[in-house]
Amino acid sequence: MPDKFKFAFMPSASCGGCEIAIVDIDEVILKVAELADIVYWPTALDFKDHHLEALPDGSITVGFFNGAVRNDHDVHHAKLLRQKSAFVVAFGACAQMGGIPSLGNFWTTEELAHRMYDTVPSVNNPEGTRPQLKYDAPEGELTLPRAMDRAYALDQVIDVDYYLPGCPPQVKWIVAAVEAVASGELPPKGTVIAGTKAVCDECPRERSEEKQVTEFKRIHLVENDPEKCLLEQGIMCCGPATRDGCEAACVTAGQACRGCFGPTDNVNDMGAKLASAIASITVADAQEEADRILGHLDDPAGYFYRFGLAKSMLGVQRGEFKPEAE
Amino acid sequence: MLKKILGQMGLNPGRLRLEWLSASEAQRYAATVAEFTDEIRALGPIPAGVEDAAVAKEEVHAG
Repeated sequence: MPDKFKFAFMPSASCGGCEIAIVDIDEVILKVAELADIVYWPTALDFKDHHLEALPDGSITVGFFNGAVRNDHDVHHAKLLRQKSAFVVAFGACAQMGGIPSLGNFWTTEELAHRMYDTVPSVNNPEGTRPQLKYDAPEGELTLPRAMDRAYALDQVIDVDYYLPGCPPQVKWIVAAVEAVASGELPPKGTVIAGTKAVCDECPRERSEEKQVTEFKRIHLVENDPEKCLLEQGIMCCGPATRDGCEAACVTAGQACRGCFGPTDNVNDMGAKLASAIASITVADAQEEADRILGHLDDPAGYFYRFGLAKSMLGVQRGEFKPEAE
Repeated sequence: MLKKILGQMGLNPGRLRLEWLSASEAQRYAATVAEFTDEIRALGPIPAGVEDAAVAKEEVHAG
């Protein structure tokens, strides 16, 4: 190998968990360092935008982007990484599908700001002070990025080559991705580097032939049987629509699947698939009965699109209907 | 539940309606479809394309 590969890690609207996941590969990071130079990683070292801007176009082998695209600076970062990288990987659920930040898409940016700076119980802001995008400090003009009207998944802003799903991505798939680059045996463009079936296929819990649910319960309010399918116990689990590859980590630990790997290859819309899965296991003879049972699910859209609201087919339509208009 | 989801997504839940009708209830079938069609017409088109317009706009802004 004449030259080392070049990797870049770009954080965006994220919690930092994806960056932890990179470090979490433990000693494999040494192999990565042997294989590639990390030319940009602002979370680990003091890299600035101009360091990335100075690199030749396409000179980075793989640019890993984590986080949703929430403000105009994120858009700049996404485009810059695309310009400098041969391959761009959407790293983690937020870059892949909008993730948790895209749950904010249920509200407008103004509504979110109002909540954040005016009505949160721990906020005392009688003058209604808001952060300004520009401020003339004695040392010069200071600026802040502008929050866009919603959070976007990375491929809604730039062309994306591969996806590493998860919240955060798991070590074995990060290693698989790095090994694919090292060996030159790359999967087809657009591949989600994880399993191809559903979490239920990996789940060790026992399932009966026919699921019959007459009541949905919240997981923290009941003792669940560790041997039995959670859905059969009336606990909402995203396993049927969610891509596998995590070895059913949450379900094995006694928690329901939250859907962080996103939909499987043959699911178009995660929420629609989950709604249909729930409908098929609910036992009700009359509309009222179905309403009662499904009424236990307080926030179906938030639950079914927990990690992927930005990629939902319906999208959030503003201006037609406000269910909780004040 | 679907109506609730539509509401959360900012769509009017009135756009969804489920009726059970037998094949022998031709008149009721026609009346139901006509009624629902009128309701949907009254609601008008969904403000579609919002998303694309927003991304395009943001791109211009981010320059």
